[in-house]
Amino acid sequence: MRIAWYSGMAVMLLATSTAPAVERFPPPDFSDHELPRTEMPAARAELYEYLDLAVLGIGLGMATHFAIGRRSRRGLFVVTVVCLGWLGFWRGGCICPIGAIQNVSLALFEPGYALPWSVAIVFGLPLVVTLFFGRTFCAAVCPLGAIQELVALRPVKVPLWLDQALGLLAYVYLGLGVIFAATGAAFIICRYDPFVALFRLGGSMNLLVLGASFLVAGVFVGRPYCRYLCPYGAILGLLSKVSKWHAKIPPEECIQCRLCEEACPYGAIREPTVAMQRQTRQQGRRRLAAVLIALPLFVAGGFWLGQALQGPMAKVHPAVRLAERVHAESVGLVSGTTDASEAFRTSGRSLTELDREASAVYAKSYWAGGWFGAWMGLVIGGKLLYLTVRRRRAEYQPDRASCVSCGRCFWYCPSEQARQGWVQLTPGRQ
Amino acid sequence: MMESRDNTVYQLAARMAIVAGGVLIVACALLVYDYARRLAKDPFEAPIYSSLRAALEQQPTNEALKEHFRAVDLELRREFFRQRAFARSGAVLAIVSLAVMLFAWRVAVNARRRPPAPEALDAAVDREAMWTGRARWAVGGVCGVLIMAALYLIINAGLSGAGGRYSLADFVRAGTKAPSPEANQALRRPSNGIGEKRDARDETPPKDAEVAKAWPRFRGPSGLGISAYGNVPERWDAKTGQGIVWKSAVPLPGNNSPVVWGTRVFLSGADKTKREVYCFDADSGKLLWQHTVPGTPPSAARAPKVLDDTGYAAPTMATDGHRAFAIFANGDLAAFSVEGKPAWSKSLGMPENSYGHASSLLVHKNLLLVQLDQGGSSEAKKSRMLALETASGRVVWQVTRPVPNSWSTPIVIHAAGRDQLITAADPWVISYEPASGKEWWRADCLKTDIGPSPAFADGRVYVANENSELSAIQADGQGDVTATHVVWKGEEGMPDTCSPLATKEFVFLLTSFGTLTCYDARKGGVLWAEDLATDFAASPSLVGSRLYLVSKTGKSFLVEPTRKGCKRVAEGDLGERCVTSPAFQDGRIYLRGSTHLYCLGESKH
Repeated sequence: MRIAWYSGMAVMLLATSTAPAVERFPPPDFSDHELPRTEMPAARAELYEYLDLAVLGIGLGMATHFAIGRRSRRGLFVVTVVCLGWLGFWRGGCICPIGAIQNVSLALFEPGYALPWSVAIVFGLPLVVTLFFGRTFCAAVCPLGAIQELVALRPVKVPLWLDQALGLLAYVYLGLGVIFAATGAAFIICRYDPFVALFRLGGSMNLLVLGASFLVAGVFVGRPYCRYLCPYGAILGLLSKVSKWHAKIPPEECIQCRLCEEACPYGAIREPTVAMQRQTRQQGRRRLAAVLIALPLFVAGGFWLGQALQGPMAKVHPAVRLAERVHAESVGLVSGTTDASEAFRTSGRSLTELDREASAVYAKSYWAGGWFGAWMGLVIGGKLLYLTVRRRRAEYQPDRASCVSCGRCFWYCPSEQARQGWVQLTPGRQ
Repeated sequence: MMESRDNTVYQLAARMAIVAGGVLIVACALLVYDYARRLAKDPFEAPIYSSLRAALEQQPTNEALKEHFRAVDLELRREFFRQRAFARSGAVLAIVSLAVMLFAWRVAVNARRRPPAPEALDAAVDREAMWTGRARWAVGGVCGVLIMAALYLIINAGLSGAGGRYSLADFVRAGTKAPSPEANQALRRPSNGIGEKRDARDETPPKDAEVAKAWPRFRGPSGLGISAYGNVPERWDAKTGQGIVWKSAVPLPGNNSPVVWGTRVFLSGADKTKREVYCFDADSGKLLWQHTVPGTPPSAARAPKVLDDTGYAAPTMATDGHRAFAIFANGDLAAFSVEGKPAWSKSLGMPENSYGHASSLLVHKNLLLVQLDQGGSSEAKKSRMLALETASGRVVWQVTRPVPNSWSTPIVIHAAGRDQLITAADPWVISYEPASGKEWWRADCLKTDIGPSPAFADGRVYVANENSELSAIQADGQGDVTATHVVWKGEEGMPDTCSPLATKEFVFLLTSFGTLTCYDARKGGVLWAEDLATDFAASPSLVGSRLYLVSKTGKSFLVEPTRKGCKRVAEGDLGERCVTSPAFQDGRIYLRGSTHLYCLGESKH
């Protein structure tokens, strides 16, 4: 199993390597050939927009109903398949709340960009639902989660300590996604969506291999993208912590059989805690004080280091890359031209103007890098704080941040089975 | 009963999963195979496509050929879309088989599902404390990895795709001038001369009269091989010392010709690893200064592949009286003040040149013009014409040229009331506006490897090359003038490396095996041909009405041409091999042999 895990990871790393040649189709080789005029396809009918929102709303409602009300794993499964079919394969994975993070970020920082109301709803609705009911969006509505949920056939348990550490990557991705969108550099979350090529049955070979690798890894590691990379999942996890009616494992009293913990493929179930020794408690307090003191230092250090990332961050912006490329071509540092530099040269735009735009991005990247670094400092400090603060639990409970309300634990919970009338609990055998 | 049913379901589901998995594997394998095949076999690189394209270039008006080409093109496009359809079908098949496999697998798993059997845990052990402790360390580890990654990015924050050493900040800080590594270093440490910013407004370009007096580039002031001085020596002999004013050893080899400004003679030399510029005193032959041209990444990282006949320093230098400019086979370009102070340097990238870069530099007003033709095919669009500000090296303009690698040197002429920069390569002779790079006209006249430089006289540009023809082009056209402005053509005596020499009356061609052919410049047609019975690489020069011809053996011929033939007037012998062209000054000729620089003239002794 471990070999499979490592192989999956290796394939994913390979998939993120340099892209092979892009498929191109040059125009006919005759100078007198008239190229057909490129026409913009007609805008998508507004009806479909309403339909998408309706599917999202109904999906959320159904998923919440099956996760919290009916506590039905089968029901969730049906919602999963339907949402995967509609939002994934039919709609090609777009638009989704994960990518909408970037639209919202751009709208917040770029006054010239108007956020479409449908995008705002797609982004906000799952957040509101999560605030009340936990991550029911992840349970069955999100097509990315749905496809991973379906392939999680032989999941192994990732050690909790590793799970928590890898979970930080989602916050890195979230920070980068927001920063690059806010500076107008790129929508990296969409660009590197691993499943969009599968949903659309086509795309770059790199993305196809990446998506396939996530699926293969997902057979053995439950929802790898959701747990370790999904930026929207990171936000939902934070909101879910304070959700009012989060799914409970046993409908009533926990008999502490540990079946739910064994059944959860996502490491989202926490066991009851034991009473702390006095010495341990004192150590914990000292540790907590140290983390609290270190937290502002993490933020300040992150801000400082992030500012130094100005150059690499600026390079993500196409204007900076184009300016560098044009300069490099001008002085012969690179041979040949790119489509972008060719287009620039024929556009009649002056290099000074391009430099001005690129320099503005460069200057903006100084602060963007700083805020990204500060965010990472806050996330790391916050995670250490979370791992330092001791919580008391008398029964098995879902970790609200990690739990995606998939309902697997219901199936195994004897109390739930008793509630459904499938079994009868004998008081003496509790 | 229930167990038996579960078993049957399991058997069925498992088999279905296996079959669907098999289909999935086959579909994926076919998709990957198809993808690899498409990558490896680009239909537009197919031999038939290339051969038809080449044929069409030769016969652009052949309608039957065009039709055939269209049919092939159409078939290739159909094949492309067939492949696209295949890939689409394969993807659908793969997704469907994946869905079936997952469904069947899930059914099979459910049929055999057994409740977990967790082991009993020791209630006294504080497992939460254990894993949170490890998790804190793991978070520290992730934090460390992130910091390392950030530092890596910061340190390697280079220019995308350019060796990772330059960034926009460097360009901007350098005032968008060329960011040679030296300039970058100069920004970070006290100036050592290189990268020193000089204000172009502090100096004016040399006046035409000053240029005319000097020998500032390959083949003299206009690049036409015509001397402004008539009082130059006619005979010399290195063995006896007759007519040799001085002779100085040149440290590194080079096939470039001397350029002269005032009392300074400039040469460059290079080998595989080193590139140097030399300045000799014109009167004494003393080496006044020599400078190593700093290696300029990325081109200097490896030595270029060159033919021995070309060498690493084939391009002749240029000077404007303020600075001397040199370019080498690896694309390194350097400027030094005439006093020997490094002014600026940069790399133009390693030229992709099958024999080695040989096109010489020239200065026009405040611009240094560089013809950087490269690549085996014009399709690659790698060839460029660049104009750099002489004071700073800043690229003022550059244009992509539709030609493959060539070895000729451009000239600047004044015709049809405008300055014209004339370039020659396969197949186009192109005229540009020197100040902007705007194209005036072009003519399809040449074929294959173009070594000889263009010549100009009486409003006509002359180009010639082995495997093609001598063409006389009226230099007052606009656009493609192939059909309208090629006044006459000649086929005899085509040169390999020696450039044509043109006057109002004659056009002279010199073959590499020693045939001097004279054409009537006005009407075309061969007037006469003279066999000199020795090999030549240097271009002919004109002093007064006489031609100076220097052979590869070092033996030179002075001939007096007329309409009826030519008379040999005198001969000289340098005593060593010579493939360079002479520089003529007042009473002097400067000529570079294989190892020495000679000053020919009346010795003071």
